[in-house]
Amino acid sequence: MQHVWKRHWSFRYGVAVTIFVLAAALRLFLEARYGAIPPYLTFYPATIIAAVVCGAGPGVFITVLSAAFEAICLLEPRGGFAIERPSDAIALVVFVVMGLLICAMAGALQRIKEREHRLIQRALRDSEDRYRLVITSVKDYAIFMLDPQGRVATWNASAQRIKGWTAEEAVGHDFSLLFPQEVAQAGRPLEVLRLAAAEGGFHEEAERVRKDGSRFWADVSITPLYDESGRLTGYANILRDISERKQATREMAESRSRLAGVVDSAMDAIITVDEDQRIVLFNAAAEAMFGCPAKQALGGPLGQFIPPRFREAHAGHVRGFAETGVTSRAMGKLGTLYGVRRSGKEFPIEASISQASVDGRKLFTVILRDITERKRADEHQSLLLSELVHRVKNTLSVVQSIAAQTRRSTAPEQFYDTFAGRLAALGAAHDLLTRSEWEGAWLADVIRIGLQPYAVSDVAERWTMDGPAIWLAPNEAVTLSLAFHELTTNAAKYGALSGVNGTIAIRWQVQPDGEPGELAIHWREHGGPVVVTPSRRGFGSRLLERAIAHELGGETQMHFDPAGAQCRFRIPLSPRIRRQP
Amino acid sequence: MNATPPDDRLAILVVDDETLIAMLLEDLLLDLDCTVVGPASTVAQSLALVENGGGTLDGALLDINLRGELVYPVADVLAARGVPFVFITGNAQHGIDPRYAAIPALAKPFSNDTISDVVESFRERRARVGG
Repeated sequence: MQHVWKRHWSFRYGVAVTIFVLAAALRLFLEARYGAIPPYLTFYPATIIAAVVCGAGPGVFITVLSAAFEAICLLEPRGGFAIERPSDAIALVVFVVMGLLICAMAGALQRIKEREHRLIQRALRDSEDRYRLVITSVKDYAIFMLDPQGRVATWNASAQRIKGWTAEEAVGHDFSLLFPQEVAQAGRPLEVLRLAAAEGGFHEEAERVRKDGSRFWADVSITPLYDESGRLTGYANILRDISERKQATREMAESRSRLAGVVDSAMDAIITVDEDQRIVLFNAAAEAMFGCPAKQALGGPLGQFIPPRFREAHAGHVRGFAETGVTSRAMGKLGTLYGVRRSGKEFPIEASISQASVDGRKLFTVILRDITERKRADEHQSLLLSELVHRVKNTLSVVQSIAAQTRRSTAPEQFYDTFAGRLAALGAAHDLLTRSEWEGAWLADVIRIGLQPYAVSDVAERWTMDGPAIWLAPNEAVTLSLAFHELTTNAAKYGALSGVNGTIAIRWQVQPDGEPGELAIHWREHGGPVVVTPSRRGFGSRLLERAIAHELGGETQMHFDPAGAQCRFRIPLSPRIRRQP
Repeated sequence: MNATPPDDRLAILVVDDETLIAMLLEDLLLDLDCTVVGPASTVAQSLALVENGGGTLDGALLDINLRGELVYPVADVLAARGVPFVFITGNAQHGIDPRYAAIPALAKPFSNDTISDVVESFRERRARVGG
């Protein structure tokens, strides 16, 4: 109810006059009933009440009115202002002074109350303004109230922004419209409120729907509200859209599992260690490479996989690397790195290291590749290269020798043909060896390549050969090729292949008497012109004799039978001339 | 291969596993008025020839690689006996035993002049040592 002293002045004066009239009436009533009573008896309280209730002005007015009424109407002689007795005068003065004092106090009191009221009002207004400002300006939080039945009571701007409904659309509706349909149908909204009321609050991360039907992940807090008497008045809801956070979490989980997939299927060993060189990651390739299950490696020192003599230096390198702040670099610039398997076996590796800082914790990741195979291949390649150089140089010397020998034993006009023929035989032997990657060649093939050009004649097969499989090492194959080339060339010039009817039979066998056995080859020409023993020995026979003796440790017998030339080789078997490859 | 070389001829051991190269060396040495001892194609043969040849060897041409066997045992014996020798190698880049770093290595293929220079150095050596 509004205070009287805040009303219009006429009302206040009206009330004051009423109080005065009541006081005067009471005064007259008391006097009539009890005779003389003390002056101003009823006017003191009237003045006080008027001053307090109606304010200082009406108080003064009543004081003056009361004094005048008492003095004029009640004191003897009545009907005129005549103060005859000093006690009357004193009473009048005391009353007026008291009245005025009361009015002054009432006025002061009123001013104090007014100021207090103003302050309270302003504070209240400020606080309300602030509250409203907070509620409306909270960006990420939908804040809304529900009544005890779960109907929306208030709805802030963020609620509208996050959920799509305006305050007008939402207020009054059951808040189950915020839930996905199937969840709402399962009775979740009521359950949520029940839980909030039972527990004094409720919190969950769950899906909610927007006005457009789209779903989003929300962080929801519901707090039940009670009045002073403990009656449930509603629920305060704070809801935040956490879709982005959920998405980020899911992406991180995805990226983590992708990374785990890469790490686990990597062909290279991947090991991560912390600042103390303790292993925190050890992938499948690392398990295979070091022969150590991850379970046993994790938490252990990296040093166990580094050969003891390198451990100290390695730790120093890693510290140095950490100080550079460079994120990654190849290791082993100063030489080959080695790892050591659980079995204690060392092996060469190629490695790169990277570092990352996580929450001030440094992690080093080393990617390792076992280069045992590659090193072996490299070594094999350089060996091959060196062998190739050796072979080429050797072959050049052989050619040099053939040229020199040919010049000695051949008339100048025949030099070119003879020399070219011998080079061709050398080339054919090389072709044969290339087919087996210079492992060696079969004796039958060596003989065949020399005789190939004479395979067929008009009448018959020109040559036959027969014998067990004999494998020749490269040098032996080349030497025998050249030897058979000489025999064939001679046969073509002077022997069985010079006519049309001649034939050659080549037979060989291994004679088992004695170890390791002996290869006997018999070259026999037949049907050619009558053979005469040559007057001087040429390169061919010299090569045959020398090669078989010197290089193969065997012996050669040439027999110039008039019916056809014969040649017998006897060569001891050895790992370089053997029955099986 | 003369059984008893005249005194003024140099007796030179030839070690090479390749017949044609051995023949070439043999011919070159004969042309240079030398007597060829060998040719040998293995370390064992070479050592036997050195033993039998006694102190009569005036020099040796040694192919380093004899079918995977290295000729150094022969070089050791020759060095011990004070017989001068040179190596013949198909691959000069491929290291020669550091102990013999001072010994010349002739790279295949070689020219006639190279061989005659080597023989000349053997002849001078004999003249100096044998007086």
